[in-house]
Amino acid sequence: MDVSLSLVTFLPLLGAVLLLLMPERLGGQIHRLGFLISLVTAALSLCFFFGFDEGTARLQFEESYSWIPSLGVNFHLGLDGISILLYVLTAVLTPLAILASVGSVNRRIKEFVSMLLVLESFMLGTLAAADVFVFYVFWELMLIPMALLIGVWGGPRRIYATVKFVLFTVAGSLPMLLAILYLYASYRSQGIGAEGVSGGFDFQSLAHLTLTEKEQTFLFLGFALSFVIKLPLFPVHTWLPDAHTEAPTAGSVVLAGVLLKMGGYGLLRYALPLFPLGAAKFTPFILVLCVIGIIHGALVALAQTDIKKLIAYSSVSHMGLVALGIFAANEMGIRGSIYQMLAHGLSTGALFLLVGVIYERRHTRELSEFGGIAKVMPWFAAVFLLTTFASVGLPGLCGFVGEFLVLLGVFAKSKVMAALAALGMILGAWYMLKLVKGVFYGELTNKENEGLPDLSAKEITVLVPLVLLMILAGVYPMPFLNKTDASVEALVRRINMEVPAEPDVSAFSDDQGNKIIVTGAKDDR
Amino acid sequence: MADSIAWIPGVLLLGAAVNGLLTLCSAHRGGPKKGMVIPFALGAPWIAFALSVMAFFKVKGGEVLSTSLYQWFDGTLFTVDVAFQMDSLSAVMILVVTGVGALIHTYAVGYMSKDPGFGRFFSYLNLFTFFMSILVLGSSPLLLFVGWEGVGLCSYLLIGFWWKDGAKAQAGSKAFIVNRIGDVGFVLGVLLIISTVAASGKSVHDFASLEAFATGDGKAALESPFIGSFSVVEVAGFLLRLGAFGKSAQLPLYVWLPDAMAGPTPVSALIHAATMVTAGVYMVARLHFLFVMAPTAMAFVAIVGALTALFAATIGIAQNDIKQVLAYSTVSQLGFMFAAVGVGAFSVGIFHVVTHAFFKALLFLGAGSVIHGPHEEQDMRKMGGLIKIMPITGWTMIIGSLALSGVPPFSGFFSKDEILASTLHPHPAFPGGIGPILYVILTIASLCTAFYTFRMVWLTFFGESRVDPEVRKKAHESPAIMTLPLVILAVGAAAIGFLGVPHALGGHNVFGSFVRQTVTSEVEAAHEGSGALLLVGIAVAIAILGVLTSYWFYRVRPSIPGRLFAGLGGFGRLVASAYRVDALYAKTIVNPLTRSAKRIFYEVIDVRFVDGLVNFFGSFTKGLAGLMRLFQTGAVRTYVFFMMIGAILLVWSVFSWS
Repeated sequence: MDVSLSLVTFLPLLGAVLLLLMPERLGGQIHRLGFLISLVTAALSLCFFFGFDEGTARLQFEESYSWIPSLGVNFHLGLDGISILLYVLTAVLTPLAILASVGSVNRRIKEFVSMLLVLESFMLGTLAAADVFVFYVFWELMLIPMALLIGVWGGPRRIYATVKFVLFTVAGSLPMLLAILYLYASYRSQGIGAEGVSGGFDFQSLAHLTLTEKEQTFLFLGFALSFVIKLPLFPVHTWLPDAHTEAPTAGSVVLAGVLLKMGGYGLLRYALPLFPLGAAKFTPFILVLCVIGIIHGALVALAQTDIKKLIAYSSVSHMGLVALGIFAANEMGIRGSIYQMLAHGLSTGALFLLVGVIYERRHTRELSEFGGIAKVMPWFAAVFLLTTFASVGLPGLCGFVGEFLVLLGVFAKSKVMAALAALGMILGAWYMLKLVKGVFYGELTNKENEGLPDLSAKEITVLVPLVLLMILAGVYPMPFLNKTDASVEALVRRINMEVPAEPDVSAFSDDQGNKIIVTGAKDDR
Repeated sequence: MADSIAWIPGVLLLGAAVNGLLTLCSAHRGGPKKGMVIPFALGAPWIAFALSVMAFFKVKGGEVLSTSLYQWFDGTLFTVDVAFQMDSLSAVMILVVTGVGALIHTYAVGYMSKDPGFGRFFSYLNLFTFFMSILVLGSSPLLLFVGWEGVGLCSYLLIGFWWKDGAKAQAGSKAFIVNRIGDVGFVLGVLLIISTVAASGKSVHDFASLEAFATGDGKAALESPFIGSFSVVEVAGFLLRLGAFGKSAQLPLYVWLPDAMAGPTPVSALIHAATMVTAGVYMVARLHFLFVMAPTAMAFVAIVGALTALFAATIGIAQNDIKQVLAYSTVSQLGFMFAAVGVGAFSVGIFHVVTHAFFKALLFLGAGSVIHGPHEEQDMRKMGGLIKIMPITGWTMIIGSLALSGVPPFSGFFSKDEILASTLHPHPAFPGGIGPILYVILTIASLCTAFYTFRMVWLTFFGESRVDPEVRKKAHESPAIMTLPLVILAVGAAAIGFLGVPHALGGHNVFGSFVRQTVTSEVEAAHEGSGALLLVGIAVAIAILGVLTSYWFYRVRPSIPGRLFAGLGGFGRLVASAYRVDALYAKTIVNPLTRSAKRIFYEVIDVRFVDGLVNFFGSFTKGLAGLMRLFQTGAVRTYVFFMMIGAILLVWSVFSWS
């Protein structure tokens, strides 16, 4: 079945507009309709997953519409092995997040669901964008609904958290805008996107730019800063724990599940392949930061008494591993990173949902308030335990494959870094088991916990797909991993400057009857 | 397909899944009915055992069984398949795992009969056996690691089975975390090997191709210097052994095992005596072709093993909790096994794994029966004279104790004797003098073993009853479902040693020859027939000396131990408190780490430094915004003016830059 990529990408946005037109009094029904829209989006996104051709590194399901012809900007969308898994992950997590919020968000439901849908569209757009300009627009737009989700529906310190989140993000965005403008200037001056000749301002044609080492250094910094803040990398990670603690459950799920991955995705899509010389310069420095992040995040997680904050810091540690694999800049490292992003999206998404379950019942997330909960909530305990071990990287669950491949990739780059990063395995088990013990084990002493109801039918519906995916991704990872192969291979060759990037666009552009002028494709360095 | 060895893990997983789901679905109604749990709980391990026996006969004929299900994942130049293989080494292990495992499952039906977590228990126990079967049948290091971590998970779940007691849950966490320290070593070792293989442009996917690589093309690469004068394979061997030290509770990572006794006793028998803890020994034997290339790492391991054997044996002497005696005994016996595989006597180490599985499982189950009888009492000072009340438990445990002490002709004698003999013929590349040192250490450890074992026997079963008279009235022998496995294990503990009668005693060492179908290395072959009669004599004398001394101390002159203990003063208390290693670790590692995590990493770095900087910029920007407000005149002319300036600056910077 042929499904249009732009349709799926914008379906949630259209849905949001529809919801906003509906009368507020329909509250619950609006919520359900929003869920339905995101569910359809998820179902349609699976068409891309199953229709994906694993044999090629080219963009698939491509669409391009002339947008700003005078600037050579096309509304150009497409998916390849770098983006396909994250695209589907986004589409699958959003309905679960919306469903989880049914009943727990009771204020401004219409706006809440709309914001989630708008956010979904922007995230999908960021991942599908092939044009740098389109990417940047989506990237910046993502900030708005996320900030509103935290700022309007968040916890008591939501304003501080929102401001911090916005400040960090904007601090990264401005250099990226400058870098994009500079890129545009060089792209015009080198005649790649000459007026009337459509190659588009997309990352594939930009790969043909000739940039000096100095230019690459600055451009890399301009792009990478924004991405590493999003990841987040130590020491620009402190917005994350605050954003997570204050965000409503659905917001946390999307934030941890998808939004952080945008940083990793951006590095893979732009920062590394477009400016390999610049990237190479900073790699040793960034690798060190990644390892510090892994260990620092884990240690700080160990010191937390707020369950949500603990998991937020575990994300810092895990995403450090993702960045480590990316900057290992070899096939195993990058495949591992992409897989780790998928796995982390599933397991941490599930963890935030689980924290939401308990927060809704007790309106506290302090570890000391709990203990012995397994007695009254055995189902909850079972799912939590499974998710814990997925997060810890137990082989057979989703966390292991990515972790192992990343370590293998890093090992080829620096054995010391790999050894230090592997320490995260120990600390990860430590803080997660501390969490499990604190919440579930021991005597149930707190009277308020005695009557806690176990998972509701709705909660089970939300969690079961994640549980199944965590097991599937651990036991049978090849269908996911295979999708990344060809694109990662091409990407690694590009990063290592082994061959000039293939003029993949030509095939597509030929359909339009256009030619591309390729200059400076050969590396003269 | 129907006779594929994949069915062995298959049925076990099925058992675990069925009982797991049954338990979850009835979690709010007090758990599933016992009658529903038992068919799968017992069916799974017994069918797996039957399948293993059938497969064993094929392997005995010289066949190596293998089956591949699908590709798990791959990387540059390597693939990992979900594939199983059964050669003679795996066959021995799977027979122990499923055979002893099935007996322990059966026993546990009786032991756990009144426990509300009956279904959950058997789900975990089946899951454990499943992962154990993956561990011994997995055809590649990574699949072995799946089992390796999986059994760790089940160990965690089962140690903390009675999680309402926070201390027990804590013991489970401790086991998993300490094991993870070793696991990191294991993973790094595997990474090093895979990278070395990949760097040579070769591709490996299982143990067989790895062995071909190590003994063929890859020999030079593996033996090239890596860190200082240590070769790649020495470092890899060291890292892998770190994993073995964690899983098999060796110095300095043994601390989790004594705490692991918090789990139900069948768990201690199955996981923390018979099977999981011997995984490290199995792994070393499985990768023997790598280890023989790393004599320094091997010598290191032999020494650590021997020291652990002695260290734990001395602690065992001073314990009053019957399960703690057995726990330290297990640590000590694992040390013996490591000493054996350390000197290169792989089949001997595996032989001790097998005999130990029988007699230690028997002793643990017996201890469980004892605990069950006088109603949850584990302190031996409150026992005594129990042989009259529970004769089957008592006599089977005495058989187990004889085997553990190394009294001929019980099984432990044969395997321990071979270990002692093999230390005198270590790997030829070892520095001279190590062999005799190992021999002396292990002989002293043997003496302690015989002593603490029979101390336990005398205190528990003989002498005046120190059981509370009220409790005594209710004390009883355990039901048949528990005593029958005891009897079967006792027969095994008594007789299984005859599989490995050394040549020096006129035997053929059938066991050794069988394992050597797989473990073919020259170091191994050197041991054939090394057990001189003199050594046998010394071993027997030591065992009997230990038994007799304990008889003298605890039956003839019961006042001696107290006086001796008092005479030892501080040292005695140090030994009784297991050298206070836990406190030492807490003081030097755990507490500083948790404290600095909070006070330095969180409060200083994150809160004060990074966030402080952010907040500073925040207020700085606020101030700046106040300044900027001056420009917001509302007049279009001003805006256009500033826009122009901005545009000029931008254009200028772009051009001056390029």
